[in-house]
Amino acid sequence: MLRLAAMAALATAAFILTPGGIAFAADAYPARPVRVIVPFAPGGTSDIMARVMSQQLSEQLGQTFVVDNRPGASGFIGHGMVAKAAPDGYTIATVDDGFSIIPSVKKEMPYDPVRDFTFITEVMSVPRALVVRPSLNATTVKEFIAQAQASPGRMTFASGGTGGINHLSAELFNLSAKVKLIHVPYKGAGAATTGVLSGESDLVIAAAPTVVAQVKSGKLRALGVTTGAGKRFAALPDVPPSPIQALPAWRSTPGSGSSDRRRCPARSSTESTERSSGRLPRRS
Amino acid sequence: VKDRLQGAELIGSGSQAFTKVIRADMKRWAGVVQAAGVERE
Repeated sequence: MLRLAAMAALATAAFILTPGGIAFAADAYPARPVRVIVPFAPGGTSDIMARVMSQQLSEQLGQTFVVDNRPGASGFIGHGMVAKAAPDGYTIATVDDGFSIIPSVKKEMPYDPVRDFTFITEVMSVPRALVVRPSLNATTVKEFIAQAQASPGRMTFASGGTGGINHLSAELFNLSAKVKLIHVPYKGAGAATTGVLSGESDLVIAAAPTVVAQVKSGKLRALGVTTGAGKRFAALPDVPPSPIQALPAWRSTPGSGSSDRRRCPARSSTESTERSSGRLPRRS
Repeated sequence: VKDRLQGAELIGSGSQAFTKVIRADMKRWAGVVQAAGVERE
């Protein structure tokens, strides 16, 4: 259900992008395996999303979509490979929030984040959760902000590293709530959550699905989720939407490398998604 | 897999809309980096 919906949407995206026609013959794509680069280690949300989509595309198109994890250097390695790949639709990649952040935190970029890629479709958004150590005397975001305002520079937030999404999400929280939580960087998002679990840090803004178990077991306290006003995160229905609306949800998207939009891989995606949505015959 | 994707909201935006999102996100995060005083590495 989830995968098919994503594929159908992808077809729509490709049509919008290529009103002038399709560069590939209807039956030509994919004529060989497609490489799906995930610029992160296996097991993360981007990796899982890529594997779900790749499996579906492989089944629908009769051609293998191979997930290739290329972690390291804040995504530079994996995305750099895509930027240098031939713009033929056979090398695509996943993108998450970090892709949009990196240009602001790095002095030098090995690629142009807009010009060197063709963006196919934004697949999904995952809510973030504001979680604190349970020993903290705050049960709502409002109470947490009041405590932080009463003790400026003494409360902390954990992140997976400087310039990462949970670092900048917390800085955005600082700006929006007019507080000054001190940044405590850890080596990875998992370690940041552990830092709050252990009581070393006061708060972390994490992808909500990654903290459900700890919240349910009482090891972490969720104060809010970024589902938007009026919406609830089904896995934690008692947690209200965050009143700090500026906080973004986590995004994950497939992008593809191309320096020539006239030959962009999204056209290949048109073929893929046409088949997955049943408009073109599947390969036997 | 199901656990890690729970609560995910499907978007499925078009390529043009998605490109606008990327550009807008880059602008937004640049503002946060500047306002928060995060140094470039």
